[in-house]
Amino acid sequence: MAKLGCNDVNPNEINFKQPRSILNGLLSLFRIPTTTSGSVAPKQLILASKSRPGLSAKSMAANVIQRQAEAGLNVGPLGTGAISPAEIMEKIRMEEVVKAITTQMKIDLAVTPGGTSVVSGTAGPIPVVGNAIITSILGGNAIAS
Amino acid sequence: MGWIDDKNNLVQQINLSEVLGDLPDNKLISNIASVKSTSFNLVPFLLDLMSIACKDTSNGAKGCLPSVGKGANPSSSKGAKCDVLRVITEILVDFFPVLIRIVKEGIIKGIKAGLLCPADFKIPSLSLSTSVELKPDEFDSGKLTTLDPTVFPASLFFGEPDKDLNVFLANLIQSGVGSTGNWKNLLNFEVIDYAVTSGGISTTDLGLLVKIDNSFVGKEFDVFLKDYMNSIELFNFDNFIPNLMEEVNGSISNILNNSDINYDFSIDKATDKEKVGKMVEKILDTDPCEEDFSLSNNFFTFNSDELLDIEAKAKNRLNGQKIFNYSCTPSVTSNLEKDLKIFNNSKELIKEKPSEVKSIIKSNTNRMLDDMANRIGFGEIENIKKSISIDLALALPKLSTSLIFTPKIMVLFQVAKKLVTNQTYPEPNTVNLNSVNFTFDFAVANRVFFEYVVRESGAALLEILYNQVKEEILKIVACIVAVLIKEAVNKKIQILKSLTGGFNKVSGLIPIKENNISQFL
Repeated sequence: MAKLGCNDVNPNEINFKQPRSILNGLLSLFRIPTTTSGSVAPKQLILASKSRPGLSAKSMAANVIQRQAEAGLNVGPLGTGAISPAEIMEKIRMEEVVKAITTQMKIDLAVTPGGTSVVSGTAGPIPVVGNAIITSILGGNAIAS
Repeated sequence: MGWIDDKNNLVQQINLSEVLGDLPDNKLISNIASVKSTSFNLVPFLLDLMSIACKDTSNGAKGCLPSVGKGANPSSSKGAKCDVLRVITEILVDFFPVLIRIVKEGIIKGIKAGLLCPADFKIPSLSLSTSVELKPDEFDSGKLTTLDPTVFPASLFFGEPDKDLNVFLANLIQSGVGSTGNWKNLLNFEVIDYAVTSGGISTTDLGLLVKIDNSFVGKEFDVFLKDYMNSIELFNFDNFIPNLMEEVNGSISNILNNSDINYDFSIDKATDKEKVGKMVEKILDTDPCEEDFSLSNNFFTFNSDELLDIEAKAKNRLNGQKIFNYSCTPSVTSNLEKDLKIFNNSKELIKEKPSEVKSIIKSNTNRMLDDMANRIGFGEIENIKKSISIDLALALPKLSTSLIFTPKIMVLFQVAKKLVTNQTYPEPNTVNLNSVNFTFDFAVANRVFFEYVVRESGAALLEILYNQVKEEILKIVACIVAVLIKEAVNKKIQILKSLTGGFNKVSGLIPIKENNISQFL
């Protein structure tokens, strides 16, 4: 028996006689195009990040617990006066997150070529100082704290 | 990815917007029956999806799915705009012209596919192939042309005299043997005596001699098909909902059966109707583009469970009843005359105010659903109305398919078959014509045509539903994009602030006034 209606329309259009085509059409509506974002901040400002204190599990837990009210949850002790286990759990969760970031997170660096570097040496008896362009990609590692 | 996984993924994508736009709703995806269903009929799923995705800003809600979250009006989880009942009523009423256009195209495709005919040949001048003699059952197994198109409730089966070929043929045949008529320069008709043998006794019945109008000789057959379909009213808009009700519970047939009018709607005919309905369901439950799909005999044979179901539904149909599964307890509802007279009585009003026809039909439909739901008398009225309206939507492909058994399409099919194969249905020595099982036998014998009409009718409804759902999903996606852009901008601002402002070591942890949990920190 012929496959009725399977080839009735352009493959890029929805074929309403083919259930999978309809579902795929609906799913494709959720494909949100992404664009590359530029640098988050100027390089000079990024250098200022060395003054950052680093992650704090306690600070993060406090912030999350403070915002619990936005989700309609009570903030504070239970009716019995005991501390809410959910809030204790939040502290544990944040501690584990920070622990994982600080002890297990791996950061590989790749520095874009094209930067300049001061080079020095001698040309026979004459000392020479000059600028050189870095043509290779430099690598490195970092840790998060 | 599997069929159910794909549907689940779609619902999750929509629910994801709740997280992005506001806060998550405690919706259990697994509770949506249409997601779990293995059926390839997407109508129930799209109706559910419409209900989930519908964006109603009138209730003051916020977020990408405004019917949930902080801003939603607690007294109304879904606004009126998103009510499934409203969606279905609007689809049935507002998209009626689109539906008709697609179904008309589907019937033309079905005829061409069923007759294995590209339809680009020219109509010959030979009168032998352009005229056909039809026995009554060969063009009107439902005895529609024996009814008076002007008297209620039979009038609900018919449309406008100048647009509906069924009215034209009913008037012609009731004028007796020798009556002739021309339908819009497309077909010429003559009522003839046709010899019929029934139970060994030879009698005559009113048959029809049909001939393609001479003006089409030499023109392409495809042109004839299109002109013919454009010349006829497929459904009468005023009578559309009553005919949908007839499809659901046999209401018009039941009133006719109980009237003085000679209309023989027997249990066998009701069974025949249910069998065809079951075939429609079976066809729509499958994906024709699956590699291993074939329209095998399984579509036209029924197991014992299916036969029991068909038998039960046929009995209900004969009584004008329908079991609505709106809850765990199925219920029957019927007060047929009252339901249908709502529509019949408003015909005069529609003639006086033709611009208000849509609102009148919608109002009538809501009134009918209200009355039916109230008659059931228990349970939540809105849920019952929703259940009935979903049944109405699901009956739409069946109604379109039933149409092919009425004279206006059957005459076209027989003329086309004669022109292409020089035979009519049933071909000699193939099927014993039995008016009781006519529709089922016809569907089996002309399965390609039948399947095509079923799929095109289903596709027409799906296209309308898809476009509705798409509109709502795009609103959600636009909202998500806005949320994501806002998030990215905020993130950048936060980073820049942190770099330029430095870290305020004095502030340390933000104190929480509501709760002192410092002993645990």
